[in-house]
Amino acid sequence: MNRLHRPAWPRQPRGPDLLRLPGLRRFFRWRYARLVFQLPLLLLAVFVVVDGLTGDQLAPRNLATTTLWLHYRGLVVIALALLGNAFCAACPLLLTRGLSRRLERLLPRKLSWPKLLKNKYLVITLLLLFFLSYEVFDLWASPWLTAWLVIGYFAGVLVVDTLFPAGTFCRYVCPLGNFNFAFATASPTQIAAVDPDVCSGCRDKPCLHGRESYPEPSQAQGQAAFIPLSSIQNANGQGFFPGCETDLMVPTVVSNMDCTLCMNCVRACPYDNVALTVRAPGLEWTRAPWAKRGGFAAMLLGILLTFWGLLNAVAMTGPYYRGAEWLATVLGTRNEALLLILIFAAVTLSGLALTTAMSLLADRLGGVNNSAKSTPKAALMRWGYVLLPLGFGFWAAHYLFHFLTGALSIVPVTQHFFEFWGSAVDPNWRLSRLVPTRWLFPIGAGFVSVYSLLAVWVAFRIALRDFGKRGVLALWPPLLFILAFAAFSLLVLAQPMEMRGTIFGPTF
Amino acid sequence: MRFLAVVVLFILVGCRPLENTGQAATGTEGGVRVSLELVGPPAVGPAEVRVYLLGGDNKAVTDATVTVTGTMTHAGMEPIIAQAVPAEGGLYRTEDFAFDMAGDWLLEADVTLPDGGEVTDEQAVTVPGG
Repeated sequence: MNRLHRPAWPRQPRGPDLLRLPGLRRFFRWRYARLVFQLPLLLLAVFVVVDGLTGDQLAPRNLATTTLWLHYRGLVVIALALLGNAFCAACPLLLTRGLSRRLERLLPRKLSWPKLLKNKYLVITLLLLFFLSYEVFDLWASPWLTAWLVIGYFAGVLVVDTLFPAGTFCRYVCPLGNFNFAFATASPTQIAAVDPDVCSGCRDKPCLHGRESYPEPSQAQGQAAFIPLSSIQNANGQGFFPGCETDLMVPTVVSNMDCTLCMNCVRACPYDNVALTVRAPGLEWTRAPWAKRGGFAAMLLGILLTFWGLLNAVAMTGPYYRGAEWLATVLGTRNEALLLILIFAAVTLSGLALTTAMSLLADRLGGVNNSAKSTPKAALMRWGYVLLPLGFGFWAAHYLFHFLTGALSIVPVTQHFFEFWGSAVDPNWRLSRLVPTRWLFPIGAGFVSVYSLLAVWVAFRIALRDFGKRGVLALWPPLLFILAFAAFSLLVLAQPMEMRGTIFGPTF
Repeated sequence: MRFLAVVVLFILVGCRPLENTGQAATGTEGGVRVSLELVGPPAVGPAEVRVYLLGGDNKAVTDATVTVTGTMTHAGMEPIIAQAVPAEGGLYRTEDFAFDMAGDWLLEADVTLPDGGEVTDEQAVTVPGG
């Protein structure tokens, strides 16, 4: 090992390492560990596409709409809350890699992703388009469109991965992945170095760049630094071990943003020095992790997801339909797309304005009076983290509502799939709820309350960190904001739900 | 080439027209006509659904089994399933059917005729919120 000057690594959580659980480290060091999770989801994707395109077109009876809009979303938030970004880890889209490598050979060289797009602004735009399309085209009610969405997603990954370096799609394009990235910040685990001193002495940084390991140097193909098999601690086979495709170096990881939990770093580290560390959920929100990586665009993503989450749920309640009817009357239009664009614009702008006002006021009360320091951007970069627990709590409450309402419907829907293809199966449509209906509001309200308390803790830590004693004053605007957001969230959850496809009438 | 074939297959399969799952006309089978009607304006709570069955000779069909199913457009929602009981003159009506949520519903009448034949009818309904 070539000892180098010890860099000042950022502080990482030092909780228990989940990879120390019996068999886990050995499993995740195995070259094909990720494939074990990807293959079932790929199989599911095939079922989704086949049933979506050819099956019963009533959403509650189709695998496409049921698995994607009910189970996927519910399980995503459960995984994020209890473990981490498990669905990116098991993402079947990346199984197009083999094909994209073949197509790559037709190109003179890989293109580099434009510098202008090396941020989250494209993702924010795509997410906005996705949420708008979801409402305008009633994606949740259309198995056929849902199947095409899946096909389009696979095609998108194939194109971007063929033309641009691996990881470009995940980091700069994927709306679903970036939703997961933003809210994996709430997760109770994080990739970290077991011993940062080992990383200080590591010359080639295989966790970032990958490595090639063979018994003899002559076998190396030049894809990454050669590290002989004899130097690998707990050797896990020979060949090329890719590093992090989203450019995260293990000892510098301070946020789950951009971490797909692919475990490439676990496999590539020649010193077996990577941990999946348990931490306080949302610990990173108190440490301004996006100041150095991600920047304002990442913060904007988190803030906007919070308000779009509210809108996504409000759009299923009576007051929303009445408000939309009123707007349609005032504007004299029945164009639903136009109305939705206006509603999204209003929510986005008012959400940003409210958050900026809260942040600026908190800064002022904390003593930031110099106008050069007290910019809206600087204030949002300080206080914006407070919104992430609020956003996650509400998304989780909303998605869990649907999941708990209909999780068991996967049984009759699967039965119906085979019935549709001629099997003698009689679907039991009575299977649906996972918990009694009366439990739904308490569970949702519980999520909102717990994550609102987490937001209070985040605000408290930020105030103390940046303003010392004056933090007591600076804390008031975020506290009032959290209180108002939590109250509004509970009000929305308490509304009787209306599952209407359009503002003006049925979607059939 | 194989990839191209897969893509073409998907397009061929995917571009077929969508099935019409709603707003169906009165269903018929061997001259038997079925029509479904929601009594009164749709609202959350108990509702009566009527199903009329007329044979090809315009005589009422009285010995059929009629199941009425209400399904929402959102995945995961448990359907409301009720048997419609015969009343007079080919009329069948539900006694324990209730909309448990506001929103878009598809009402379906699945009829098994005395000779084993099957007819269906369906109707889209929007149940307004409170």
